[in-house]
This record gives sequence, C-alpha cells and structure tokens, in this order.
Amino acid sequence: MGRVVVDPGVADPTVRSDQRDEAFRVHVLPELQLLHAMAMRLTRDPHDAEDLVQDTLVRAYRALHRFDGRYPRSWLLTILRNTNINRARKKRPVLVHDEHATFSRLPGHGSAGREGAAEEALNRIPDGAVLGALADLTEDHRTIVLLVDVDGLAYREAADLLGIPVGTVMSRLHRARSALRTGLEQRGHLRGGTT
Amino acid sequence: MMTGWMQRLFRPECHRVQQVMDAWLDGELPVDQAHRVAAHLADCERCGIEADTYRRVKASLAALAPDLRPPADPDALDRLRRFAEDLTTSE
Ligand SMILES: [Zn+2]
Repeated sequence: MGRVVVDPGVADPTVRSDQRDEAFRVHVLPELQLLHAMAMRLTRDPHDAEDLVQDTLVRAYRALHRFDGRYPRSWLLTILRNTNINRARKKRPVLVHDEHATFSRLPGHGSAGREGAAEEALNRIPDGAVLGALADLTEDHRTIVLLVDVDGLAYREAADLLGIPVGTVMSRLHRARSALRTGLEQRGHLRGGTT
Repeated sequence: MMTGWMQRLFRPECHRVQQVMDAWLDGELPVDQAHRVAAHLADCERCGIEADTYRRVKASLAALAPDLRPPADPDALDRLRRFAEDLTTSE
C-alpha cells in the first residue's frame, strides 16, 4: 500500500479502495480508543471529543495514501492535533480535561484496593499527596506528566499531539517531574528516596 | 565495584546517567544504552536512590491512571467504531 501513487486529495474509489480500507483497518482502527482519550484531553468535552475523532477519522482516511505505514500513532495524533486546531479556531484551546472534575473525584479508598507486588515494593506515595502535587503544577507541566505517565504516550507521540519537538517534550517532562518531586517533598514524602 | 563512601561520590558517569534518567525510566533509551544505565544504577548509590525516587513517582501516577484518565465512554467508542467502519465501505 505504501507504493501506491494517488492524485493528492482525490480518492479514486475503483482502483485502490480495497487497499485503502485494509490500511485503515490495520493502522487506524486499533488506535480508536487512544484517539478518543486524547480528544477528551484536548477538548475536555464528550461531544466535542466525539466530533473531533470523527473529523480525524475522515481526514486520516483521505490522507492514507500519503502515509508510509510507520508510526501510525504519531501520524494519527498529528492529524488529531491539526484537526483540533482547525475546529477550535473560534474556541479557546485546552489541553487537559477539567482538573476540578478530576480532583473532586478523589478516590476515597486511599491505598486500599489496588495492589501488586512491584507497586508495593516501590512503596507507593499516598494518592492525596500525588494529586495535590499534580494540581500544583503549571498546566504545561501537568499535561506532559499526564500524557507520558498516565496515558502512556511515547515522547514522539506526545510531541506530535502537542505540536512541539521531542527535545522540548524531554526537557519539559524533566522540569515537570522535578517540580512534582518538590511538591511531594513539601508534603512530607519522598525525602531520602525511601520514606 | 566500589564500596562505602566511594559509592556516594558523584562520578563523571553520574552526570551522563542523570541526563538520560527520564528517558531510561520511560523506556525511551536504546537497549545497549539502557543496559549501561542499569549497570550504573546498580553500582552507584547516589544515582540508584535518584532513580528509585522517580520510579516511585511514576508508579504512583500509573496507579492513579483510572482517576486521572479522561472518563471512558463505551457508547461513544461504539459509535466511533461504526463510523469508522462505514467510512471504509461507503467510498
Ligand atoms: Zn551515579
């Protein structure tokens, strides 16, 4: 499918639609859940997010003949970002969904419930302290931490979603983690690395 | 292999390791480089403690993922899946 030559922007349904559909199923459909989650991060609104993903799917489908099959996530997150910019021209762009909604849903069960040997060995920090320190970060810092540590994006994917270089992702992440660490230390955690 | 107070000295290697600590934590380093970092962390108390600290923070965030992720909506996902499948059959 990578070698197919197509007039830019013009779908010729008769010749390649099978290949295009196949590529769409292989590269795009498995990322649907990620796209939806990232659309929620970008828009903070369920309806906007759904619309954004629809628009992204249409664009991805049309652009498939220009996609080389490598890093589909990166490719899709770039389209998601660009689509969102076009959609959000009139709206104020936001990157993280409502933090107040998030932090007001603080889990009441604290350290109960979730377990796991590896986690236990690492001596988890209490949820309240982590959420508090996270809430104190600047929006940019909080966003990059959420994308990498919570959503599990690779640096390159986070860079594509945010429209910044990978080097910026790395330096921003480093500063965000330092700030988070400071916040946790101020809350009486982490000092000495083993408390 | 060093022992005692020697382990806590800041060695030239430490600086390089700290520079790639995030990438190491996040699994973004090439395998050979990751092995070198792991070997240093096992050998250097100072960097080892640093790595443990950030690993704890990362693990704590990951454990909170269900609370920090945008709320999942299975119905929306179903609608989107159908939308996507229609795309492939309509044109
Ligand atoms: Zn060291």
